[in-house]
Amino acid sequence: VIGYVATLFLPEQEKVKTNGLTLHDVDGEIG
Amino acid sequence: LIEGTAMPLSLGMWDWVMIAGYIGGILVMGYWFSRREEKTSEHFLLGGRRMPWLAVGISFMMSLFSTYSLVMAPGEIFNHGVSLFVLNVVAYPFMLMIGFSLFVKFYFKLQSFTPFEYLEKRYDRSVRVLVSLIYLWTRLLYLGMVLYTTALVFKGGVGWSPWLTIPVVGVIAIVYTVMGGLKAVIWTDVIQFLILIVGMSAAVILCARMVDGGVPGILQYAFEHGRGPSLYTQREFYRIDPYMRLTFWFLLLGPVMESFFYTSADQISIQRLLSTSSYRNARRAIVTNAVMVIPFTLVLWMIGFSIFSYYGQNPDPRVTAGDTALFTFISTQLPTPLPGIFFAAMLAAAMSTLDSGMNSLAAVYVKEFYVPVFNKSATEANQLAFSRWATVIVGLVFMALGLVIAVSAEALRQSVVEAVTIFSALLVVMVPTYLLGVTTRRATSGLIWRLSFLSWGLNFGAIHWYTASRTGLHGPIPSIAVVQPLAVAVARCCRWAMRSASRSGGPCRMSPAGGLSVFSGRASSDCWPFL
Repeated sequence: VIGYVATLFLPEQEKVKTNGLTLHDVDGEIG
Repeated sequence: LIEGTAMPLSLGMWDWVMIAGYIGGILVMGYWFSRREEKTSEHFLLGGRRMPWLAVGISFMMSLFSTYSLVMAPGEIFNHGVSLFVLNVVAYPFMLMIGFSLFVKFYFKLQSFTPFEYLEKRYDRSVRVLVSLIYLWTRLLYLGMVLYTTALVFKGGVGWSPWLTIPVVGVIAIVYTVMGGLKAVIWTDVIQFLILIVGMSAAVILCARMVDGGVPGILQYAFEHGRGPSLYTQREFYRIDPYMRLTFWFLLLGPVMESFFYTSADQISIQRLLSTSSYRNARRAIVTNAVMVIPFTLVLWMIGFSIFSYYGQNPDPRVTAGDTALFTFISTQLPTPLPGIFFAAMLAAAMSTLDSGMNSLAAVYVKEFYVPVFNKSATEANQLAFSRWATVIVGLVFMALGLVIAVSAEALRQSVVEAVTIFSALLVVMVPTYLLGVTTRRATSGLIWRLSFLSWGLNFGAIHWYTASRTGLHGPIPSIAVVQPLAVAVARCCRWAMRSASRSGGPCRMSPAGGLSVFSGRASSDCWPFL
C-alpha cells in the first residue's frame, strides 16, 4: 500500500510503456 | 514425532521390495531421459519447452508438497482440528489463478528462463540481482529445512538417523536430476504423485473399515469431537489479535501471499510453467494444479480424521500426539507391503521437492550469475555442462545445510528454526516488487530499493517483538515502535517521489554499482533517503 501511494507522486516511465511490461500495455494474446 | 516418541515402522521383506522397486524405478527413469536428452541448456532446464501441461500441473503440486506436509496436516487435525486449512483450500486455487493472470504472461512474452529476467527489463539490473540473490539464499535455506524435517520424520517414523536419511534421499535425487534434467524431474514427480495417492488412499480405506460407520462414521465422530471447522462460527476468530493461535485475517493472508509468490518470483513453479509449449498450455497446467489440489488436500484431511476417530474409539497408550499417531497406526495396523508403499510415498514427497529445488536453483545460478557475470561468452555446451555441475553443487549444499541444521538443532533446539525464520524474512521484498512492476508504469528501481529497506525494517521489528513476547513481554505492540518509523518512511518516500517527478531526468535510477553501494556505506543521501 505504501508502494502504491508513493507511485502516485512518480512520473510514468516511457520505456515501460513502449516495451509492454505492465498489464496496461501488454499486447493481447501471448504465444 | 520430533521428540522421538513414535513407534518406528517395522518393515518386512515385501516392504523393502516395494521401496527398492520405487528407488530403482526413478533411477531408471532418470537414465532413460538422459539418453533421449538433446544437448542444450533449454532442454536440461526447461524440457525443451515441450512438456505436456497435465504432467506440469501435477509436478507443480508435488514440488510444493513435502514430507513435512504429509505429517503436519494429519497431525494438526488430530491435535486441533481442520480450521487451519479450510480457508487455504478455498482461497488458494482462486488466488493462484489471479496470480497467474497477473504475472506469467510477461515471462512467456520475454521467453525467459527465470522470472528475474523480467525485473531487469522492467526496472534495472540492480533489482534483478537483489531479488535473485534473496531468492537463491532463502530457497537454499528452505530446502535445507525440508531435508532436515524429512530426516526428523524418518527418525521418528522408521528409526533412521539423519546421517542416513539425508545422504540417501539427497544422493538419489541428485543422480536422477543430473541425468535427466527437468524432464526427469517432471515425470518422476508424476510417478511420485501416483505412489503418494495410493499410499494415502490405502491408509484411509483400511482405517475406514476399522471405524464404526465407515467414512461417514469417521467424519461424524471427528466433527462431534471438535475436529471440524468449528472456529469459523466463533466471533473471536474474526478479530485481529496477534495472541490468538488462528484468526481469519492472518489465515487469509497466507494463501494470497503464497499463491502470488508461486506465480511471480518462485523459480521452482515458474520454470515448470515455462516448460510448456505456450501460455495457453501453462494456463491449463495451473488449472490442473488448482483443481487437483482440492481432492488431494481432502484425502490428506481424511487421514487426520480417520486416525483421530480410530484412536478415539480404540485408545492406545502409545498414541499421545497427532504426529506420532499416523506412524503407530501404519506400523501396527496395516498389512505388509502397505507400510512399504507408505514409506516409498514419504520418500517420494521428499524427493519431488528436492529434485525441483536442485534443478531450479541450478537454473538461477547458471542464468542469473554464471552466464551474465562469470562467463559471458559461454556456449550452449558450456551452459549444459555447467547446469549439471550446478545441480550437483546445489544438491550437496542442501545436504550439508540439512546436516548442519540437524546437528545444531539437537544442541540448540528451537533457536535454529527461529534463525531460519529470521534469515527468510528478506523474502518480504519479492511479491511487492512484481506486483508494483506489472500494475503501474510509475514504479521505479529507486522505489523498490526504498520499499525493500522499509519492509525489512518492519519485518525484523515484528520478529523481534514476537521473540520478546515469547520471553515474557506480553502486551499490545507498542504503537510508537511501528507508527513513528512508518510515518517518517512514508514522508521521506513522498518527498523523494515529488522531487523525482519535478526533475526532468525522471526519478533516481540505481546503477548496479549504485544499487549495491549501500553495503559499502557509499550511498548518496539523495538516492537513499532512509539512510
